Amino acid sequence: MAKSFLKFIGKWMLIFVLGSLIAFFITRSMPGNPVDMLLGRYGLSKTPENVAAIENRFMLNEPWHRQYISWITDFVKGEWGNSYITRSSLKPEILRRLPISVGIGMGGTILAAILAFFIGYGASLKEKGFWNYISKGITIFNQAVPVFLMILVVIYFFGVKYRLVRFFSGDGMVAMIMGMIFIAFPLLGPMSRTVRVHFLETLEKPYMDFYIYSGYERNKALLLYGSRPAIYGLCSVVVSRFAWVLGGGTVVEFALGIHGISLFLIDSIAQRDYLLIQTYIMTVIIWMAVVHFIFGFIFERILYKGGVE
Amino acid sequence: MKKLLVVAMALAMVIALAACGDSKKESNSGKDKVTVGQTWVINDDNPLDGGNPWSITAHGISEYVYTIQPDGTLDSRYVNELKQVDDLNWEGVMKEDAKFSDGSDVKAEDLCKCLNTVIEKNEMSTASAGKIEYTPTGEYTFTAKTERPTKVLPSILAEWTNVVFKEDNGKYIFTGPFVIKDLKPGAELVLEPNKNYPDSDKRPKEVVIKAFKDVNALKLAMQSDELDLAFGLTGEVAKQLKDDGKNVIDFPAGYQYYTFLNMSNEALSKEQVRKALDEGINRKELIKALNGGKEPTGLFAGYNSFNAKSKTKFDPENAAKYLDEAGYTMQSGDKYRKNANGEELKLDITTYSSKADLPIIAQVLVSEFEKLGIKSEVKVVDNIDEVADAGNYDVLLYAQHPSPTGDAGYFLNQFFRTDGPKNRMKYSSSEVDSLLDKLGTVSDKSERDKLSVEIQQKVINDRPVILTVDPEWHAAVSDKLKDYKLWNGDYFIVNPTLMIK
Repeated sequence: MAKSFLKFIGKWMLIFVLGSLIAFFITRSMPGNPVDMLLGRYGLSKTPENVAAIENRFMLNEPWHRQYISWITDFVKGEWGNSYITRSSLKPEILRRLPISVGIGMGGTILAAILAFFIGYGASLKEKGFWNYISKGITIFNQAVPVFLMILVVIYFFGVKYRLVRFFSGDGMVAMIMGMIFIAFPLLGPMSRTVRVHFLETLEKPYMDFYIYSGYERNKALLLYGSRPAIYGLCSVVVSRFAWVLGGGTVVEFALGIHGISLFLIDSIAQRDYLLIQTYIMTVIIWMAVVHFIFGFIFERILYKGGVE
Repeated sequence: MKKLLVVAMALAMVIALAACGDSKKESNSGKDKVTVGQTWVINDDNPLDGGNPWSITAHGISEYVYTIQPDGTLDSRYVNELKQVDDLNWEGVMKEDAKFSDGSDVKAEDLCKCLNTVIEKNEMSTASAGKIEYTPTGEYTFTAKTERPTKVLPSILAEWTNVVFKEDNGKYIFTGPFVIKDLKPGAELVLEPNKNYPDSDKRPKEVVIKAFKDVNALKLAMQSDELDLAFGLTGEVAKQLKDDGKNVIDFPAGYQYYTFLNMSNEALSKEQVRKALDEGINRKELIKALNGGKEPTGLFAGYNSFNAKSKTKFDPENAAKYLDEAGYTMQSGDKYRKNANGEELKLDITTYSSKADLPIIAQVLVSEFEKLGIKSEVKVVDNIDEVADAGNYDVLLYAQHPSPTGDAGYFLNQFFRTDGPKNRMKYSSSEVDSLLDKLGTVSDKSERDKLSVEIQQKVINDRPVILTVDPEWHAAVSDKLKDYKLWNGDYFIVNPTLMIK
């Protein structure tokens, strides 16, 4: 246990260092730079004095290795610096936005997982049944219709035409809840198909015949003895989704005006806000490490101990 | 199974109802509340940080010492008179009725202290005349000493860095028509009227500004009556809202759309080719594509007294003749003109998408060029200034506000002086340079206007730039803001005219 824990830590330390180097150099290899962006934003000419003033302010006139060491040392110490563009302190800003993105992403994924379990179970009972058609239909629909378009159509019908939901008013709770639904919907198809496959596999098992011959109702027996492997299969999909919740909700945040961390990233890329992009990438790496630790390291061991394979 | 399905459906229903229920709590904004949708909201109110002075003024929280008016002139609530003593020294007399939002008077000591702090803390404030030292000489009188000579201190005081503020126990106090009630950084700002600003009793009790990143979401929010003002609409969205029966304000953008020509390009170095482009473009098509705007008569927005009164010409036959004269002829069966070496005439149009109108214009220009027999492609880049500075373009479609402070000198010097920092066309005219030198020595407004027009006329005749569109921007408003006024682009989105009918 201790050995695999150390291995886990070592692996993620390596990812952290490599990730920081990639984050640092990838930002600087983008066309454009924050100096031009800032001068353009302020309507100032590119005189040597103006360029020097901005470069000096953000240490951009220092050699790259010094910029990198200074940034990563400060990051590890928890001093994440200020945005080049807005000048606001990054740490409170990111920590304020992080729960919003994580909340929508995880909430949506959990909602999808719960609904997918029942739809998948229903779909496994009858090949030509209602729930199998629903499961297939959602999958095809999501492949054909982009989420962005779906959001606009839903807002139009429910917000504009029938006035049932006020998407943009209030304290943002409506947008958050709708955001979760829009995150959940595209996941319903693949998740419900995964659940169905696991239930069908269980149906093939010889012990299912034994239960049915013993007088168990087929559907109840399937739910009772097929749920665990189905949930396990669903969990593996959920874990991989959790690792991507930070970037996965970008479209939803953009369309619904939810001010999460993904929307922050879009602005920072447009403005070549190096520090913000780098900090975002490092936050994602830390988040992925946490998710893999919780689900890949702890949960896996608990489930294996529990005898599920 | 049925029970389980009922549980699952109930869960979905609960979530959906929570969304509906929560939304019903927020019914219509009501008479005393105004909701504004735009693309950004401030992160904090520090007037010394980055572009914040511009942002807080656009939100109606602060004011510049001088403010540009809808007719392009400057006015100040703080300064009565600014008199130039010599090249570097000025004397100012203040108005005595302006107050901070805490009720205290704006006196010379306050004004000088805040402007000196701006000079010290915001390096962008020294761009026009170097460091300026302000000294109070009485309760409402002061002097200003500039590092570099200037004839237009009022215009400098209208620049985006120079907002009036004071600090009180680490809190900033401003003089704009509204004060901050609550702020969710970058997402939502709640304002209430500044009780010490004229006509405060006529203003809504609450103004909520929300940030929308997507113009379609902004449109839908307006259509569902969740907004009273939707700012930053494209021409197409504005038209859709008009068709939908919404009130849309079309106002002069102040910003101008320019087609800059790279004069180091072999074809564009020829005067006849530049003339052909000028006369071969049907500007009415551009205006139609944008659903608004005017044919430009000079390099500035039409409302400025210093804008030239030149008339653009559309004559495709003449344009074809000019191209023939320049050696680019059309052979039978060819789609594009070729030079004597058989090379096609190709001029690519480089632009950027952060001003949504530009890629639309670029596409129309391609079709106008094609009609002239010029092969063309649109290149949309997101590092436009880097590309332009490097001269890596043929035709550059660019948006610029040429006179945000009510003066023509800064823009003309930057863009059209030989080796000017934004002269990316490689344009050089000794006549223009000497007229610009002369402009730098003149302080009389009508004399400056006359010289500015003369410079523009010379530039227009030389055609390093083709006058393209004097654009209109659009905002949708609810019935209670029908009389709302917008001007100078996005500089004053929430402004003192925000009153409830």
